[in-house]
Amino acid sequence: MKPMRRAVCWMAVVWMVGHSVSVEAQEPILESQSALSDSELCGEEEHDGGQSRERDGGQHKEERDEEDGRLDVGCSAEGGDKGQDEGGEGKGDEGEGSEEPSVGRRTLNVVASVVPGVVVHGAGHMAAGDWETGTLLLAAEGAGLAMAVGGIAGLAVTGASSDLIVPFAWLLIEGAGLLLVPALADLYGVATPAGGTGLPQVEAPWLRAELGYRYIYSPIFAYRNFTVAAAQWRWRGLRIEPEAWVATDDDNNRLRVMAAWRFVGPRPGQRATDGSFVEIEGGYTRHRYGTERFSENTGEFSGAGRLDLGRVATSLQGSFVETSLGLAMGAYTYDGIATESTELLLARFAFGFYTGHSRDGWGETSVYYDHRHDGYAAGLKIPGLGSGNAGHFGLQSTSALWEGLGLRFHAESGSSHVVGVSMLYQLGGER
Amino acid sequence: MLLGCMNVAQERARFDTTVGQASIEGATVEVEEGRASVRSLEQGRVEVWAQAPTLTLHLTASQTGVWEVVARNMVSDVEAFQVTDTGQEGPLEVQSNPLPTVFTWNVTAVAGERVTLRLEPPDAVDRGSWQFVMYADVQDRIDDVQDIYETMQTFPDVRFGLISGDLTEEGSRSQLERFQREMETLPFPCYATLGNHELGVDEHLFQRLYGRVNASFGYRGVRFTLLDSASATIAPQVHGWLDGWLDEGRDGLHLVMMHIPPLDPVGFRNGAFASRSEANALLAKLARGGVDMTVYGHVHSYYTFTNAGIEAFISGGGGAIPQRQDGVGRHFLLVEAYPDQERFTTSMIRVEPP
Repeated sequence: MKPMRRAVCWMAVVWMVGHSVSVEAQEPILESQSALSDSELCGEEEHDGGQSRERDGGQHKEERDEEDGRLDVGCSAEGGDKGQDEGGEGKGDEGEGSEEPSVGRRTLNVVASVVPGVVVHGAGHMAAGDWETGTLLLAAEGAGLAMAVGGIAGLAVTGASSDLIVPFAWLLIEGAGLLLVPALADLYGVATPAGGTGLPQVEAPWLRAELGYRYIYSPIFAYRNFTVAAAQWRWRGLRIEPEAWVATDDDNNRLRVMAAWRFVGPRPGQRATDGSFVEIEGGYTRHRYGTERFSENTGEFSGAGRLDLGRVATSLQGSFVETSLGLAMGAYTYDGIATESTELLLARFAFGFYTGHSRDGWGETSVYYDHRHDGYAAGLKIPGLGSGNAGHFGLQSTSALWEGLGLRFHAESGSSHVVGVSMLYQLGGER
Repeated sequence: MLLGCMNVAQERARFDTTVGQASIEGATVEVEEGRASVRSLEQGRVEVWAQAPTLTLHLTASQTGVWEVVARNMVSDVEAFQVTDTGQEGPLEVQSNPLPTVFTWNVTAVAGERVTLRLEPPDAVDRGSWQFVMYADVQDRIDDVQDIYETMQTFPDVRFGLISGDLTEEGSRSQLERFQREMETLPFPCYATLGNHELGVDEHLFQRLYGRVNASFGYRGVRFTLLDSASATIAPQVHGWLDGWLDEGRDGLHLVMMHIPPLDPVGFRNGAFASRSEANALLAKLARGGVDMTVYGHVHSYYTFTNAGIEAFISGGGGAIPQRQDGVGRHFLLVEAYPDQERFTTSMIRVEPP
């Protein structure tokens, strides 16, 4: 079967499943309601200095549970139900008075988000009857595909010309991000309960400190064990972030200091609408390879942003996408031999979701692609013709344990594998 | 699986250790240091493809008889000697020479005894200046490669060529054999390592036909080291071999060639190793090992720069999709070695305008 015909067939299957769901959705699924909290039922809220406000015609009320600090968001039934706003489509097949699909229906939606969702992004939402979100995700995939193809075509036509490599490479990487992320968003949207997995910190902490351990497996370098220490200090839109990775079994260390200015988004003492932000970032990194007797010194500048996907669709509440683009320049110094200039293309995209709903808690998990070819993980090595071009993939997750204390899990895979855990302590910040 | 992905070149390095060895019932052939691939071995006949100007070949047969030894990709004035167990050498007469680089000799094998052949050009230890050429990235322009070869033949003193990878579009057998047919129109041999475009079908096919992808040999005061960087990395096992080759080349000129450069002079592009750190570690090792020149392909243009203080060239002018607006076009490098003065001079020879 030719690819086009196969895609059309898959679309037809998805449409039929979605159509049957929309019919089923007329029947309330009462048993699933009882398990939902108010916040899960209502889902979307906007914060404004700690006050709730109406949105989409629904009357939201925000209540804080004094005992467990949980932020509960209730709603009246005047058309503001989660899943019924924005054209009556939210988590999918819930009808009036019902919010959650049955376990079987949810499973079917999740399966659809994988097959054919891995090819037709948004298929999970379409199967759930949420055509608006499903179509949006499919359109994003299409846009990503167009960008990626445009980037590849540009590189091919110019022969990867040094004059045009930056825009075409950026186009390709961002296109790849837009091509991949909707699939994850689709899966998230149909797999998670109403209200999502968690809430963002809409007020940023003013201080965060980190102390941890990383294990790095490299087939080339002898180091394996690292101590990681970092801090993050914020004042208004400013963020200063020093970080050190020091090998305990080799002469290797990486010292890095970053400074950023946040134009939009959560700041210390200033609540934002959600976790979305826009900022610019610059920094300096010195990576010393004492055993191999060389050093890498790099200065960099980039622009970065996060978009909470709750702004896009209610079913995606609690999830976010991130991207950043930048350039780095620097010098490699080979001890006693030479110092030579270098440059590096920076690009990154991520999909993640917040975890937990309690007011004082914090936590998020994200998977990402980072185009950096320096650092410990560096670029991917793959069999076949295309090794070396791609950067690395990673996963990081933070979670509050008790008051300001928390944990970070971090893993990356590229030319090396990096995995480790850190203790975090943060002051300030609030959902 | 992920660990395997990080060692994408390791299997080829392991395969290198098997190159130059073959056996059938009643006969065994071994080429020292794997400097030739054994193309075929049958009773009474062995054919090898040389990866260096000088070869030492051992043949052991269970029955006494005359063996036909065919060597391809040899320098045109190569001489063959049969070496006895006591070290006595006797010259062998060429039986046939159908192409300038293809020779056949007959040797008599005594049952159970090892026969050693030494194939060597007469000027192997001459310290005078001499020339060789380098090229890469022919890929899908194989139909036009004779343009390059015709231009190369206007330099009659060239002793051999070096190819830094991407001979073909995807490394299929038919493409590799076509490349050989075209290349054998040259009056001199070419020694190649593979590029990423040789990994499209079977990553060991290149080794079966053309020999080791990580290799080192000396000729006329110059050590040549060919490394397999086709997967944007060097196999960990090769770093150990490299230490030995650097020691062997420390007293003379040393040229290191590989396909994907450790660092791209256009860093934003990164047509280079997957890891900058690994690239820098390799370059630091080469610099401390006294390497005088590094030559790469992969980027379809021409660049001169230094890496870790070592003179570096990217010459990817074999014809594959060219970099635009660089004013280069198809080309190759002509290198003159001056062993006594411990220096190279290099010229970029244009085959056609950009």
